[in-house]
Amino acid sequence: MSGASQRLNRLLALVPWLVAHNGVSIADAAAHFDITEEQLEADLWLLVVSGLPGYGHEHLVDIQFWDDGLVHVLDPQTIDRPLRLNPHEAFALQLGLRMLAQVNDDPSIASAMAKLEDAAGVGVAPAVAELEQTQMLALVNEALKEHRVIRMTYAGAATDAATLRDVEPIRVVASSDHAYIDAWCRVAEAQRTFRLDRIEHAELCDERFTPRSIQTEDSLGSERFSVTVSLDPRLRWVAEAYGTIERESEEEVLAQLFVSDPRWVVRLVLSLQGGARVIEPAGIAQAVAREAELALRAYA
Amino acid sequence: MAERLDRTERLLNLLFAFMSTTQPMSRAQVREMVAGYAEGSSDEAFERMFERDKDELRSLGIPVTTMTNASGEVDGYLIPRESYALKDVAFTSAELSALTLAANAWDEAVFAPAASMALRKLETTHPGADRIDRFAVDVHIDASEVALSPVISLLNAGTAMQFDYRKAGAIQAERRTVTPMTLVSRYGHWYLAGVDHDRQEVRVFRLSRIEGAVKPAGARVATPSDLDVFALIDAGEGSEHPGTVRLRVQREQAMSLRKLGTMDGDVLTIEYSDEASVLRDIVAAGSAAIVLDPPELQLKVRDALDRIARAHGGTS
Repeated sequence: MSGASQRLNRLLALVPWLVAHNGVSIADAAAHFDITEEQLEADLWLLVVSGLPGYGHEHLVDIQFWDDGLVHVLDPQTIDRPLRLNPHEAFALQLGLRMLAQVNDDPSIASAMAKLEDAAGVGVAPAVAELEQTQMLALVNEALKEHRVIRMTYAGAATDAATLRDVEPIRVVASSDHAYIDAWCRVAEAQRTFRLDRIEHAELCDERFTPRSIQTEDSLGSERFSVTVSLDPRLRWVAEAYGTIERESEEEVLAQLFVSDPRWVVRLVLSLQGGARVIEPAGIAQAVAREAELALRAYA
Repeated sequence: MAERLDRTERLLNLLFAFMSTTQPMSRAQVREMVAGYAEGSSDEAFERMFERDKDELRSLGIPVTTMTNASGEVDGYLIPRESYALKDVAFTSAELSALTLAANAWDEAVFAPAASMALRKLETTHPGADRIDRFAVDVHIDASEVALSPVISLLNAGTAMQFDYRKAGAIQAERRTVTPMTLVSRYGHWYLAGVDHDRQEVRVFRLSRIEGAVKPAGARVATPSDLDVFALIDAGEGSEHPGTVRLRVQREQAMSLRKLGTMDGDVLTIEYSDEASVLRDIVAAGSAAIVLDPPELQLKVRDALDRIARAHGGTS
């Protein structure tokens, strides 16, 4: 979208909003549209010299704002109503609502979707795969509503081993690839993010908890350390997904991966079946060797 | 005022001219009457300016309509006001909270501003959402596929599309012409389902494998009335060399592997559709999952473990 288009888009949304909020201050209007007061004034000046051919006084957009810093729209001409949603705008909201509906069955989400489709007219309706773990979600949502502790068996990505823990659920996170729960883990004594499909078993405890204050930053943000690996060039995606590329040639891609759990790296390297070699730290290279040898001994 | 009108101002004047006219407005009338077009520019310069501006209005979703007469000649242009305006829909505050969550879900260059503008438009006559935490949900959308934006535009335009597509495992991309049917998201990947004009069958295309531009390609062809997109995606996603494997798994280990099959005691039986994929999952489990049979698969697993052990200084 060009600069002129973007500005026009804003002006077309601005006038109807000013009509609906007659007498609003320049400061408040600027804040609502996420622009500076100077920009808003420039927009208003542009609007008052625009209008119908003839450009006589009765043909122009009439907005008064220079007296007291309050904006009064006296004649919006033909742009008193917002422009209809364009395909990208409709799609963006529809997808967000569908993902929300995946994890929460509040009726207002469905009714928002219906009204949006009505407002948007014919458009692109994206389809989103349904989540399989509907029962688990129902349990989590009930726990959230009643502030009850969840006792669950969970297999984290690092070990893929089942562990038992009590958690205080905070919210569900609907993400493009999976659904997650942010919760306070009583074992780790910290906030953690759990992937819904890795919960093996869960039950609601009778105990109710007092909600703690939520950490908003990335709860995967425990310390990370780096691992240097040599990758087969066809596995370049690994470097892009989990770290950075240090150097590449036709024979290898040398990468730095940023990880928080050494066991996760061991699993990753194994899964690549020889296409990756850990160079540093030595401890992790040894852990990989140990695990592979342990498996081989079981076959002997 | 500057000699030449600010471009936004000219666009706005053109919009007003088309919105308030009852009769279609011809190019000549635009040139004569609309401020910003009559600045003594050459015919060629006017044509270029006018075409560009008209396209730009349309790209915002403004319905600039070309009116033609009975002989097919262009009479002029106008914007029907009812097609321009957003339908006035009243939302409850709970519905607005849902819409706000939906808008805040985006975090990239094209759809995030679109979502935010959409919310602004819908909220015009409403107070802002009060409690967006009422659902105890956060939504994150990660849509990094470059092809998503042009596909959305073209889906709406109602034409067939053309793009270069590189199938999984292929070295070269191939040009495909498709009548689109539906767009789906699964496990964070976007897929377009549609009728391939050359193969005359429905195909599913993963958007991340579209290379370069997506262009309009003329008229649509007929599409079937029913479609199970997810089944098609499953079928298309590399179902190579199916088979059955039995494994002994350690207690409380290899939990994600167990999901692929059924347990009997400590023996896991998996019927798989793609050998490469199950091989990867078995080796990843290390000592927690040992292949009992078939011997061919067991050998592949042992070879992989052997390679890994030796590459990391182990002896095997």
